[in-house]
Amino acid sequence: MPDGDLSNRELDTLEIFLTAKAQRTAITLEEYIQSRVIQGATKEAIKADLLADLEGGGRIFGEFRNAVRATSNGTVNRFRDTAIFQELGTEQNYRWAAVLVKTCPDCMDRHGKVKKWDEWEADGLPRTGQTVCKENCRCMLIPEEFTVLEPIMRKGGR
Amino acid sequence: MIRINVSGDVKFPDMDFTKDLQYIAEKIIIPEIAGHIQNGTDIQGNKYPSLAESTIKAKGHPNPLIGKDRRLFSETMYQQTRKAKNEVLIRIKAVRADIGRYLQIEGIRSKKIPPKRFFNFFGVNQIMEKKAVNYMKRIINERVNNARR
Repeated sequence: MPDGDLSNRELDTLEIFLTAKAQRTAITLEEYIQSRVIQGATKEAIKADLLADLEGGGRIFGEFRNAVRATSNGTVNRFRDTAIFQELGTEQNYRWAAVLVKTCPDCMDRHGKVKKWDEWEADGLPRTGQTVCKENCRCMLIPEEFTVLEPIMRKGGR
Repeated sequence: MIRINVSGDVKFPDMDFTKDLQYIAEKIIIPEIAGHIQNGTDIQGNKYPSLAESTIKAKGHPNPLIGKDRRLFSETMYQQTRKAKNEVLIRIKAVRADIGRYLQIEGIRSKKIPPKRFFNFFGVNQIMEKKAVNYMKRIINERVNNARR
């Protein structure tokens, strides 16, 4: 896939992904509740645990809460990112590509750098609020194999 | 000083919320977006930036999200479940997605109204989030009450 295709996909359509953590081993809520009941937990205790987890976005409902969180425009795109990376996989190296003219200093620093997915996730993915441009970020992470980027040239030697 | 180190390998279950997300998409998010489009308000319930007089005249009405043909954007909105668990996609069909992208992401600029105008009609607002959480609370209550000893 050429690099252009990936960035076009970002802006091609408007989509909302309601994406919680995808796991093959995922169990249904009924199965979880049933297993707790069998282990001897009271219904009141199970209910209290689950409701507290839902309210607080805990380990069980955290991904669910993220999936249905009120979003700004940027976050709508972020949901799309999740789906794109699920398709492309997180094993390969990704290059940070700044795509706007008004690029923020943080994104300028990151432009062209190649890191593993986990490292980018730790540094902060585009539109996750870890850069000066926060959710207005238009940068993309593009699989390294598809990209050869030139440095962004600015007037005034910046 | 008492020092306690807590460590352990607590396994939390990964939940399959696919059906719940489908319900939320179909019954909460899509109708809410459609309602705002119908009412001529953006996703947060605010008024859209005004259209040029000539545009209103040409369209025959001032709602920026409804075309001259009176076709709603929401008619072209649909949701699908993806192969992966816990993933539901709400999208606008290609026929309207291009216009939607300009309205919400790129913005509209005209000579008569110079500042770039954005028409944020697509997304998840706080009311939808609250409704989704309330739905899930109801589901927790129902499923716990229905559990068999």
